[in-house]
Amino acid sequence: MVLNVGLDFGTSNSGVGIYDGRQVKLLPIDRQNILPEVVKTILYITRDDRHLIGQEAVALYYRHNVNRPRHYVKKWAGELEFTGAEMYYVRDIFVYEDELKPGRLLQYLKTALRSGDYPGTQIFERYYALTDLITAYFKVLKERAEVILGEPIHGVTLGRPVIFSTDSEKERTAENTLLEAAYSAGFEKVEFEYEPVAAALYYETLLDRPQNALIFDFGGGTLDITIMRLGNPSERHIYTNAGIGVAGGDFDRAIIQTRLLPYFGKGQYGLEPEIVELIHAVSDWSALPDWSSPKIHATLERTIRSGIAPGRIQSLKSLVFNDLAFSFYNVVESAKISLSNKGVTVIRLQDIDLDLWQLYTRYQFEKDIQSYRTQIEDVLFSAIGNSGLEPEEIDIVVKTGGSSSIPTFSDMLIDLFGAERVKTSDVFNSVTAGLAIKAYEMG
Amino acid sequence: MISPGQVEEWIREVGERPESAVEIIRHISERLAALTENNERLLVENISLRNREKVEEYKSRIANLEYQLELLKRQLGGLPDIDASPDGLNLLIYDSNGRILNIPLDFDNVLQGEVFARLAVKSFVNGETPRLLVTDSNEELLCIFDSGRAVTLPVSKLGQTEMDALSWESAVLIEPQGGEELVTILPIAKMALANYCLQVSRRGYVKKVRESFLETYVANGNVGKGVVSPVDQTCEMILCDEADLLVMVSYEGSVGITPVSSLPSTIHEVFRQKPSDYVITAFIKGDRSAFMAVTQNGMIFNREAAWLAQGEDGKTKNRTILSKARLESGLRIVGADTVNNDDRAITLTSDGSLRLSNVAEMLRAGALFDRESTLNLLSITTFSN
Repeated sequence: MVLNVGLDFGTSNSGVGIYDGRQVKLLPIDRQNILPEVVKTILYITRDDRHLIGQEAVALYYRHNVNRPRHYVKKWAGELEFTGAEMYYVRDIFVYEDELKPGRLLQYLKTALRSGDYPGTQIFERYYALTDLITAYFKVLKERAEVILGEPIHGVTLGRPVIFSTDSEKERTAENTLLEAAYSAGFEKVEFEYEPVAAALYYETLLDRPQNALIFDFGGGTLDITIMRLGNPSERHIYTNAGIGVAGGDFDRAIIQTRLLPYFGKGQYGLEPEIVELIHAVSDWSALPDWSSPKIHATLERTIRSGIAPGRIQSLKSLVFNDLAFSFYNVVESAKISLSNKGVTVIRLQDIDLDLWQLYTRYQFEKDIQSYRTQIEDVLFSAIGNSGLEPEEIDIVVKTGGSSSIPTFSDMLIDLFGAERVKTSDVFNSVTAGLAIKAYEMG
Repeated sequence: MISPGQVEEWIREVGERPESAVEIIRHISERLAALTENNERLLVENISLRNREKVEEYKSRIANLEYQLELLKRQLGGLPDIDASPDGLNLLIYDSNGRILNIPLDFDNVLQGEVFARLAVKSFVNGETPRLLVTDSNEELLCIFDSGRAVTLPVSKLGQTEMDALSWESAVLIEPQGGEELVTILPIAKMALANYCLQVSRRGYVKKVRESFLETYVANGNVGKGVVSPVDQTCEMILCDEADLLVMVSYEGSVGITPVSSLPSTIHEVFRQKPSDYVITAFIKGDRSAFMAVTQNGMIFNREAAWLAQGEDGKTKNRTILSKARLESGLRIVGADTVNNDDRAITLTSDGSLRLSNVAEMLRAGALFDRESTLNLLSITTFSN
């Protein structure tokens, strides 16, 4: 019998599950994680071309990188040809490379898939197209799953958001990239299922009678909404699918931009444009490592010596050149999560030349993401309208995904449907479980 | 960062969720306590800056780093302008005025037992006795003054003096400052191989410094001084290990033997002497076969090395070389060391003559000079080939 698994490739977390017709088994892919069935969507590629994922990647990244020494060497990268009306010349292009850099950490691969303008990246001696990066992640995931199951995996049902992009070209490219990556990783059969539909399939196993369900799948990268008839597999019916590229990662960025950039010099007069640009890049996790060049280092040093906000610029320098960006984003995300259960938290990061302390309340958080809340409300109303159902005809609302626990969105659903109809499914695993059921049905 | 706008937002939070008030107060008071502590630390640092303590500290650190860098350069042999032969031996003659003569030893042209150079007699002013030291030509020297000042310089930088033109006029001068005296020179190229450095004073006080602290100790100006009595003065600096035996020999022929392991790291009187006596030399017993002491009239006392056995319970064991009768006859010890038969010695006598001798012949003869000789021995040093 061939073995098919469900694979949820999430923006922040991923998971692999298998269904035997009676019950779903979620595989403990990351035994170092608090929830072993959830593996962080993080890939760490070392200089000797080792690929690590999840907590193992994070641990090695910390061990390798934080406060490590750097040594930049000038390397020839290529040449540029200039051709004008009466002139032609070739110019050499050099880049500065940190030859002590032990590895590269990659996160938000799925966001890159959605944006469509991320072709890939050079990592040490090799160029990785986005397909290669996702392939690398899938390969490790597949290998670990096969070790747990004790036999090779044949096929996979991959989750995908309802909408990768509103641009049809990007939409097609994203799906093809994911498909190619899955085949390259060694899966012989690949099919897709919408993530909220997968969550619905899992929820269906708990039902004893048919119901109209609204699945509110709100994770790290997207909000996906599906309204469908559930309860009897032969009578499943999707009324509508809707989605928007707003989720947990956007909220983290909003917190950073609104509350934390002043710690790094935002709002200070007299800074060079390059420094101002760098300050604003702090909210872009993936871009920050690229700023750690000797030129920027010299500019930061010069700014510190000039006396323009020296403490804050020193903090900025520490963040960029001591590889603290990953820690920084983690503390912001943790603070956001903690505000789901309480009204007050502290965003705290202390390291060499960096002492960040920000008291942050749920009131402030909700204020900071107010514009996103409006967008999400619009999508929700639009989905209900497109389904042809009245809100009263929706029997149950199922929340899943990490961001669905944020109180302001729970309140939004409760206000609309009433507390008794809003249920929480397994926040991190319901999509994986639903994909496993779908994979079983694939045969 | 707390702005009025943020405080307003916190108040709004408390309005929506009153239970948040306790949390906000708790977080702010914790932060306040941390900032107060930090502020206290900064105040202390600020006071140090105003008192110039920091400046002194950093000056000291810089001096220490420069010293270490210089050492490394020498030890790695990286300097291109070293003009001494790499494997040769040099004889250094130095006095308390900071004058150092550097003579390359060319054994092919030096006859055993014969005078190979002569230092102008008029050089010995006010009874000043020069000291002798044989060292490698690529050695690094730590010149120690009784003020606590220490100067490092390589032998190769000393310049060389021709044997036939030996006078203090051609010496390198490390000028003493404010009445200080050059008390000893310590070769330190192999300092890293030792665990400790001992500082021995003329009154028999010893301080044991761990090798890793020595650089700081030197940089802080604690070498050379650091003796208890103002009239006392540092006599020797010795590199050693925990298992070594320290031997101190006095002018009147007393010998004190103490295990290094029993020495405290504070200054301690290890070798008590009569008021008229003082330590003239100190050294590590090592694995040499014999102990040799020489008097001012050239008489040589020879004992097996085992004679330098340590006392019980790590205490200093005192022995005597000169009998009461000899002391009363005016005999005094000028130099002493542990030796092997194949070692050599260089002596400086009152007429300024420098002689090279085989230790084996010296021990066999029992005397440096003829019975009729009127020469006095001023200084002696022994060395291995």
